[in-house]
Amino acid sequence: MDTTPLLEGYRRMLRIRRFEERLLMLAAAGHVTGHFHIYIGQEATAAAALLPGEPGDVIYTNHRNHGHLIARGGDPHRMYAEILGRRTGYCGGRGGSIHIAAADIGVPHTSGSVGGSIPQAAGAAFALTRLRPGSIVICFFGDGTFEEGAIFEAINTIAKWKLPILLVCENNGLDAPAAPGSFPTSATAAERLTDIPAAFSIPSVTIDGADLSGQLNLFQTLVEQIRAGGGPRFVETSTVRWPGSRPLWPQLIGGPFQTAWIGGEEPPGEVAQWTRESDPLVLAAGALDLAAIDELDAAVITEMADAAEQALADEWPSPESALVLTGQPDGIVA
Amino acid sequence: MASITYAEAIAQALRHALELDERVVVFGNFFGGITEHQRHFNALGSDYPDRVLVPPWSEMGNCGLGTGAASVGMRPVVDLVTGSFVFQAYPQVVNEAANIEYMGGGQTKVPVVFHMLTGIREAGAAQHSHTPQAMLWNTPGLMLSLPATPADAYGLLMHALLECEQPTAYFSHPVLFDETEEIDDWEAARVPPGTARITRDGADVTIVATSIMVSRAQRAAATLAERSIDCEIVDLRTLVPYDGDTVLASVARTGRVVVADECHRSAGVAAEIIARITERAADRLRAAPRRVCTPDVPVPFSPPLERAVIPDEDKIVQAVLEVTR
Amino acid sequence: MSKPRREQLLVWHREMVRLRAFEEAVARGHRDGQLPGLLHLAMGGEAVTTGLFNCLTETDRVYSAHRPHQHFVASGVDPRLVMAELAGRETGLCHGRAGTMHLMSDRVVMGTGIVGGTISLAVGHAVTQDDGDVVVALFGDGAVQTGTFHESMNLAALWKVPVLFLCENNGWAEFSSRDEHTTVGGVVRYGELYNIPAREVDGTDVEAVVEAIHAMLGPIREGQGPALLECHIARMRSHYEGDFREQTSDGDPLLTIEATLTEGLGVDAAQLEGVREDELARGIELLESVLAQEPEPDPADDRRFLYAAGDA
Repeated sequence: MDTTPLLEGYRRMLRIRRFEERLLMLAAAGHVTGHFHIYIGQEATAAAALLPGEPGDVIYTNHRNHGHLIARGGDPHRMYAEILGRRTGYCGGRGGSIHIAAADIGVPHTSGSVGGSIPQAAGAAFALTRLRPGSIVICFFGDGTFEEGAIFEAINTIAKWKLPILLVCENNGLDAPAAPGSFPTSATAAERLTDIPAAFSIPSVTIDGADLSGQLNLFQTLVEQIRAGGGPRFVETSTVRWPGSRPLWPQLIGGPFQTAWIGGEEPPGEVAQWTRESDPLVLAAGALDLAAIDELDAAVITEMADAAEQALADEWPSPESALVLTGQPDGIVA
Repeated sequence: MASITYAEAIAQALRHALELDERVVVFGNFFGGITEHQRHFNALGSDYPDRVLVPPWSEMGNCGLGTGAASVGMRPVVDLVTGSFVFQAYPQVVNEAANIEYMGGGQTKVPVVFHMLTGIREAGAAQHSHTPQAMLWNTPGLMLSLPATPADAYGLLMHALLECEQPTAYFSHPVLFDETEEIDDWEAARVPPGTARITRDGADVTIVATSIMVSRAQRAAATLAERSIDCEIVDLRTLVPYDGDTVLASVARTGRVVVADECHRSAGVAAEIIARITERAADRLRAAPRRVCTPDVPVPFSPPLERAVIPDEDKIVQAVLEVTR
Repeated sequence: MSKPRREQLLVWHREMVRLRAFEEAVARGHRDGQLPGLLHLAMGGEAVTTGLFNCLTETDRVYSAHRPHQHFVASGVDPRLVMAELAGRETGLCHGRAGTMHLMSDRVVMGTGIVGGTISLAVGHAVTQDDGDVVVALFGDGAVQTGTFHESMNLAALWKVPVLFLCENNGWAEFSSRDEHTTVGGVVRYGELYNIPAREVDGTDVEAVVEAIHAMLGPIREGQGPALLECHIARMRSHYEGDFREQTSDGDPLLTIEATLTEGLGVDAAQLEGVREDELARGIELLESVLAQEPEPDPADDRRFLYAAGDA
């Protein structure tokens, strides 16, 4: 097995993990307003699906977008700044965590409405057939999206017009009983989520969302097929929800990830089982050199800490910028 | 000089835009509705089979399709056909397309055009007779174009398709399809949005109108002229951008204003225009403003009932008589 | 079947002819400029409609769509009320406020001008129904492209709501044929997708329709959850009256039942022709009588039936 994609994929997963952990620390310190959604536990999917991405591709994500943005090459400083509502954020502070857009890396808009982005992703895929044949759309959404009619309207057109789009449904409710006070991850009468796109004749597969090497192979293959004009593809990735994402407001349960857990050291009780059985950082590390991981990790931890510190120190957008309807307010630095 | 109908002017704008910019694409092709004018659009579809596409019938899906395509560099127009159907697409028009540029801090432009036939058009009943522009005016981020003439139908659509960087809701009206105008210079018809036109100069009262209400105001003005009341008619052409200067200058001259609009009365277009006038020119008004709009009832089916609710020229005449009493 | 087959079919034949005659009269009234509005006529649907109401009880409910006239007439609404409504008269079913697409009554709760517009309403209504009662959601194949169809099917399946989703598939959605607007082969496929019982049936054969509906209603009445029935019918008229596009398909259910009666059951063709003439005459007479006698609404009453009238 070629470890270079594996190591690069793992590096992206580490970046996502450390970004999210630093965010949780900021939240615990009271710096974050508004709700936010954490991607811990799903990192392998973002890393694997976006590795075959090219600059001309277009990415649509959802309210749980940090992992996709990081894996796509998003700037952590500008992401933290956006989440913290600072002028220097990707959206000038107007979007917040749920709506981070980054046009320069092919993320034109992120909808906070479940299902809101799917019809747009279809439109973008259509546009690429005219503007940049060979480029594709990669669209990430959750299992709950199938409760919304919008995705059905979009999938019908996607299938009928054979649009160049990779639909990635991240089912993060596997084996996750609803915690008291929260709600079930999704409710669909279909036996398997993949039955739905299959009914429209879209080739559909499921895969373990914590399996980095499996997803690397799968997404590489599917992206090549789509680029070659093979039409849309659907992947359902399944993960067990990270314990810290079970409460309504996410918490850094168990503390930051320790690479020593890879080697067998016991994680704290509340995350022990999840870490051993479902943490992609543990499961994917088996084929990699622990020293190499530690070296990457040190740099990533520093990078995220610096980015967060910088964002905290950044200015707020001016009140006047709220009234600027079109164009970039306050001359955001790109 | 060629005499062009309103419907032909729309077809001509689509045709010219398709020729001039390869980024223009048409989703849905029923701009002529169920009238015989649809033949112009069928011809367009035959001439541009790979640029004029008919997606499966789902308004929300199709408005999202257009929004997404616009977000990455195309210039689409989505045909919603009937204004009432915009409610099926509301999440994509109001909560997505209108929000994207602002929410993204200006990173992404969404030059999509949403076309719809609005208004009361003979026994359409409540679910086919909506005039949604008031609700859409209450949505920051949308341009609103309401051509009253064939030249403006052409020019405003060309602007929306080729030049505008924001999403545009473009309101046609089936009762206007037969209106004709001599157009021999298409370029000259491309008057920018945000510029109102005085279609009739007058000294006694200002009538502010858009779309179908302009021609109703013209007929009312002819009736009123026989009673020596001289009406000035301001055709706004677009609600967003809104040309307040022309309206206020007219009101400053006449001191009396009637706003005529086919939206329902409450929180309607007329209400907003009167608010804008009184905020700036209350001291110039010699009488309370009047509005002529569809009353606050769902549009009924039966012809005598429908006639009772249409804001027609007789009601404009009555309103003018009230402000000039 | 409690009646001998011949006798039952003759009853159904007359009913189907009555429904056909109503639409023929409406078509004439529209053509002559007497009936306003955008009309969608249901010729070709008579076997489904007749078969459906044969199977329903007085406490079952039906939600229709934009081609509703026959559903209302078949449900027992006085055809005069329906015709008067189409003519916009005060004495019409909805006092002239609704017109062709928005008819309302007790048994057939409402039609709609919005494709798919009543499907979720049917589900909501069914949630409140007493045990044993069913709500039928009637819609065409075009409605299956709407998000609301999926939201409704999903919810009904999850909550085991007593709804029969009945799709009258005439192969056309407005001006697009079915294969132009979806890759999904048959509507029945969606039943499999949501794990509810699903069948398709030849909607031009009233006996087949009755058998299918009867079979599907049983489990629904017992609380086993919703079901989907796809009835293949012809669209004998274009999308709306006056449409210059010739987008119709073959399969007249009247011809099917008449063939069965004359070829298999020894009925004289002249007898059946007599039924057709008789019902058509009644339909035309109804049209003319309504146009001549029923009063128009008073415009001063335009705010009647609106509860929050405000100061408009």
